[in-house]
Amino acid sequence: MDNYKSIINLNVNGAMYTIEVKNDWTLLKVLRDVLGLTGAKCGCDKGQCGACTVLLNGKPILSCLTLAVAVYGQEITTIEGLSKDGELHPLQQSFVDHGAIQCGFCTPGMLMSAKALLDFHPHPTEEEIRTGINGNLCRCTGYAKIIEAIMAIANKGQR
Amino acid sequence: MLNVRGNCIPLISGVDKATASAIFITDITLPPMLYGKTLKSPYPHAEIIKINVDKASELPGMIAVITGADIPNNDRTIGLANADISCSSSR
Repeated sequence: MDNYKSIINLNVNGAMYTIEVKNDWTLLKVLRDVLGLTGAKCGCDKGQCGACTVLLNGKPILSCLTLAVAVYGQEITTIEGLSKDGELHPLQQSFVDHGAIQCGFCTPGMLMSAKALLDFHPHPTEEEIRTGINGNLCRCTGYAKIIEAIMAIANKGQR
Repeated sequence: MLNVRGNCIPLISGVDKATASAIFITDITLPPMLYGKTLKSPYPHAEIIKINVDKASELPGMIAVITGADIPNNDRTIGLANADISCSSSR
């Protein structure tokens, strides 16, 4: 079973890819090793850290626990698709401005969770922001500045 | 100096990290690249008496299994870093 392969279509950041994958490859492996999109990180590979978070049809998922064949034909957004035409997404700019980035390893996953949160809840409370990113571990910042960065965008009503 | 001291200075690598154009070690692939894995003792404060590498050596694609025995004059590089640590009063 492990050696069986499938041909799948993936829509990643608006681009269509037709690729051959082994049936046991995770979406994270395909993004990083096949498509070369190394923004989503492999932190724990067990669904504990959230560094691999990407959006599946707009909702945050752990790409290390998602088989690539299971998301056949669906719409994936990664951190590489967040900024448009070289212009930072407001959340990215806010993370930079508020010092919400230190080592940067959790940042891509954290930003994708934050984007999904604001897409579904444009004006979250601080508590809701904490809940929105509670699947993303950060060992540097202590979260306070990340929450401030998201709060600043939420208050502006920007997405 | 005065425009730095007392001010919040944005992280130089901030934008690179926010856009994921920052490259981490695990993002680098250099063919032909070897992959390594460490095996740790499942027991805390245990003394390593022997290591059997036979099965590991037979794995397909295996290049090398490296243990303390491969290090010349290895005294404590691999193994107990400090033999006294297990009875340290701070633990």
